Amino acid sequence: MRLTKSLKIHDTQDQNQLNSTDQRPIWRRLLPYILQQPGWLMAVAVTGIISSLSALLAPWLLGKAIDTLLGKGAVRWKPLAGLILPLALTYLASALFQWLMTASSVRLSNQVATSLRKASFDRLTRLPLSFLDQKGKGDLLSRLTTDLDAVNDGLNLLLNQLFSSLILLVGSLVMMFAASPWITILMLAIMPFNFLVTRFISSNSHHMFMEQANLAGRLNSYVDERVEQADLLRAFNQEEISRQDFHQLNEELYVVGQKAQFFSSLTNPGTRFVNNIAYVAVGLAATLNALAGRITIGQVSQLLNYTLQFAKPVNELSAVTTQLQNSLAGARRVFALMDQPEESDDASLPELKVSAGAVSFAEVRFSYRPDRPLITGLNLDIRPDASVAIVGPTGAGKTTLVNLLMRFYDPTGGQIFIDQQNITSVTRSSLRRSIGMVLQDSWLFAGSVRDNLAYGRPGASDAEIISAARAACADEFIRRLPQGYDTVLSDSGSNLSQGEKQLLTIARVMLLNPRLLILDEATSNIDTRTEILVQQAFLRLMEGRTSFIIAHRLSTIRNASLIIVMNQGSIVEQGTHDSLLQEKGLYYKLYESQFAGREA
Amino acid sequence: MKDHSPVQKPLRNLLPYLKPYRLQLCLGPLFKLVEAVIELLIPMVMARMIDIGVARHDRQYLWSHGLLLLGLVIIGLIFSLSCQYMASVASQGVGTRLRTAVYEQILMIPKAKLQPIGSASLLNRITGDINQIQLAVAMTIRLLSRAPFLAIGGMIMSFIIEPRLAVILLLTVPVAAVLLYVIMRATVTVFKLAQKQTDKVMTLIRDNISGARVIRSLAKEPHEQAYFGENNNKLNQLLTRAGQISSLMNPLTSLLFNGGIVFVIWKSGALVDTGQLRQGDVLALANYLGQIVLAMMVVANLVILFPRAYASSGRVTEVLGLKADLWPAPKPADPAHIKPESVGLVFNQVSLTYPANREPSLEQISFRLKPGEQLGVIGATGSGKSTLIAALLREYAISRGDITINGQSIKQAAVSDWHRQIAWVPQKAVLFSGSLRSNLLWGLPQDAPPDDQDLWSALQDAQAADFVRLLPGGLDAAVDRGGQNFSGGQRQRLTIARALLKRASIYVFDDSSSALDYATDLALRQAVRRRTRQACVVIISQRVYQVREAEQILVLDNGHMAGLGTHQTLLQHCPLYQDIARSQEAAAQ
Repeated sequence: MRLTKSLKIHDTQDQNQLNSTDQRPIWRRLLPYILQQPGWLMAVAVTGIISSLSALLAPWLLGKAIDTLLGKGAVRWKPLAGLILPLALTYLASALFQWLMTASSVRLSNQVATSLRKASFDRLTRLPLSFLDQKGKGDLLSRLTTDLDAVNDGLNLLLNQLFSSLILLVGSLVMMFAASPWITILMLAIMPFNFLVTRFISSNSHHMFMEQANLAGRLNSYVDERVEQADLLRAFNQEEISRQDFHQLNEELYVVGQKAQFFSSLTNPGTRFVNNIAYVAVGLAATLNALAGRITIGQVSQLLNYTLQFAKPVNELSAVTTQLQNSLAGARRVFALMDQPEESDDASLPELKVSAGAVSFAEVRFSYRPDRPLITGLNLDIRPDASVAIVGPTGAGKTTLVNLLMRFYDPTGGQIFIDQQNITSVTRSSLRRSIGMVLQDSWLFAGSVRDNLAYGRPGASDAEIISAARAACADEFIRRLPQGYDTVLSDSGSNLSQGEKQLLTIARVMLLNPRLLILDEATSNIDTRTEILVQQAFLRLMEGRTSFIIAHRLSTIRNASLIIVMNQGSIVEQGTHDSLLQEKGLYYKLYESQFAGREA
Repeated sequence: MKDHSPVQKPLRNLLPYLKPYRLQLCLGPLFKLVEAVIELLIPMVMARMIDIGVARHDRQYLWSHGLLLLGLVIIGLIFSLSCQYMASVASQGVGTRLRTAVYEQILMIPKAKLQPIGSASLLNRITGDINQIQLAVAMTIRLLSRAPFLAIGGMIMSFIIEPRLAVILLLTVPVAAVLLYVIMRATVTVFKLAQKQTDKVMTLIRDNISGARVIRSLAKEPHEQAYFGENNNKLNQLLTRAGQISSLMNPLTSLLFNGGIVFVIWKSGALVDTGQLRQGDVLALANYLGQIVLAMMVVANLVILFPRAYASSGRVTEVLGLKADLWPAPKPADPAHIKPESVGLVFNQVSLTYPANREPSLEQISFRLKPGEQLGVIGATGSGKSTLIAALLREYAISRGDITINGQSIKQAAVSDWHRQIAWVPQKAVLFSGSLRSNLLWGLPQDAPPDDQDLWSALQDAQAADFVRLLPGGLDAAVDRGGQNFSGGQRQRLTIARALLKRASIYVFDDSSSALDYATDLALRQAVRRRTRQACVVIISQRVYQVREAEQILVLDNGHMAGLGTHQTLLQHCPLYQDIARSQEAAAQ
């Protein structure tokens, strides 16, 4: 119960697409990716046709060769010798072209999966933060890996079988028609049954594969949320409970997976059954007709042979059709991700030009959830060069101001200006590049310390990197790491303490030399002596520039040129440290409690 | 202490997971065999209908044999359906059991051993790799029996017709085996690389989701897209190469056996010419050979799946083979008779060196904490404060010394017993998706859940009651992944409430009120004092004011003890502590 409620996918658009069972739109969207590789598609077709033709030619040559072995002393050596080499060559060609076909289809299907993975990744980098904040990492991850693996496998299977089966189908149809048109028509009369069986099984298995993929995504989300917190689970003796939760999800996946696999694997026995019934019916009818003298024994055996021959490609194609449902289910989930509305295109907009660094909020309204308004009509004017401190109880909306200024979220009403430019009328990247940001949650990527520091300025020299690290007081501990600046941070820096990670993110921003600066509890995990040094470095960096500092410790912000006190989404007071103390409002209360605490 | 063996024998290590499905694994192929036999019987019965029924003008015979055929077809369907059913049960079952086993390992294995593998790789193993194993099991059940049956049958029939020629075929079998082995060897290596590259791709995707704010703030999306593209292409190349090499299997096998056919035809010329073989025999021989080729192709198609599954099972069994013990030989637990002087938490000359490092991160740390006492731990960033917690929580093995709780050594206590005595508030405040209640009930025995009053009192003490009361749903309010729908300070207070609810003898607060304003923090500290009168409390902090009332304060400097004592004694005798205190007073002025 605990799980099912929480792991529900929130947004309805994604959900609607995942629940649909119509396959045609999926095909329509998948096809362009296949056609993007016309060369390889041609290669698959040509090599597939050649290898199938040579596979058909070989038995004919073989028959011819056997025909030369008439009996004792009657072997016709010359034609036999003339046939052996072509036979060998045909086998060789068949093998060679079969390999070329498979190699091409492997190439093509991998290329399709790769393009889709790239396209969905690129989409991911353009999706609004609101989507990413809400959606489980694990489910998105599952779409870009497991689901695309299924697309790859199914496509490869289809390409491998398609041409050879078509050739075989057409070939045997032509031969049957030449031998006896009415038998052919009889054969074709069985087709609808096969078609019905396949259709029934494949549309049902599409639904099941879809369910399986969605559940796998949920399972992935569950593990993803916990894999980095295993120490926390252990410390709270949650191993058994989490094991049970996982087990429950896993069992659900088993039930759905087993059903999907079994049901989809019915195609082969199902169509074979239909074919066998046809074979028996044809056989019985033919023998009874032969009994009545209407057809010859030779015709009976011919009829039966064709029935068998015709069944083979039909069986293979219907098996492929069903297996393909797994790929289509995967593709549907990938396309649903790619259909998520992304941040509006701003390529045509001008870049933000920061000169003085004046920031103003005009009648800004915002809420994360429509039913719970947070900021209602916020006005604020910040003169250039100001150092602005934002204080207030937790949940007051301080971090929300950062989200809005950085355009991680857009206000539902009102405007924000930097140097008289509306931040929605400039490119996001120019806006964000102008602002250096250090957050409470440090983020580092799996890479060397050096690469992490130079992330915002790839061209930075070693001297610049080291001086930024020195300013952030990080140089000393970096040098103590096993490989110094070249130490690779495994698992996004999980081998560092929170404080060390924070120092690295500070050094990263120090190197940027930004026009505006946002520090959101940026030094909360750092010891005070280091904190003072880091703050001095920030002061030097931000001289003559606008900065925003969010902090709970009021001692760190008393020199700010403007202090904004927020409560429940609104600015309740603003002024300097001294003026606010005189007002004896919320700031005074917060400060007093701190002061009182120190005296105690 | 190295876990070598499982990596080297991935298949043997999978056996315990296959064992519960031995019925399906045996019967499935057997049923498939029955179906294959029926499939062979049908044309034979049909031949009798023609040869006997039509020849004798026996209408009755035709009808009865027609019905017999129908029966055979239906029986064949039943057997093949049963086989497919067993294949689906066994393969999905093996996959499900493996997933549970890997997840259990994630839960049990301390950080020291799991961290080198990495989160993305663990996720990949629990999904992608197990999928490959699942697929291989299913295909083995479906295809294993039929193909060899047809191949061996064909072989026997060829021997009956003409042993001298059939021997040639027998010679091709070892060649085919060597061929398959060589190709498999080559592809296993490439598939291992491909899975590793998948790990990398997954790491990039995860990093880009969790680091979206930083990446966008630096406008690095184009860089990330390019870097992902590079790695995505590398994965493409590896998978394509592996696929292309392994797809050699089928054509080469058929070429080998078809070569055998050509040879047989050529040789049979002389045999027919000298009257040792009839034309009809050659025809039959050719048919059987064709049947063998088809069967071998099926085997080749099956074998293609093995390299990837083999590479994957190596990765899965590597995780499964990890042992949870941090110490080579855990001594048998002493019957507990707690000496009065050993009650509480004792660190005795504790040193810890991380596996990747040469230098110890903690050296010779000693203190003794009695119930009702608080220990403050203070020190610069990177001085070893978090390492102290990692040692206490058994995430990393202490390299020297001992830690005891109520006289029991960390090296002797069972992991769960040890953890049961500790309530921990981590530095990084993380909640789990679910409800507030489900998060709060974490540390508590499930059979005796506390009532709402207990929950509210813990929330009250953690200074969280005020904002929880305003939430829609109150205690049952929804918690998003990681607790993202709460502010940093709210999350911290909820994680404190979660720990306070646990009845433990040691409470550990790892810099856990850094996002709290001073007033809240003060009230919190007073409430914690009240609530933990019977327990040892360890408070790690950057702030002197948060630890100054502690009975003992441990000052850490670069992994060493720079001082241990009360606020007053440290102010007099510990220069580092004086420094820290002075810096904070200066900041307050």
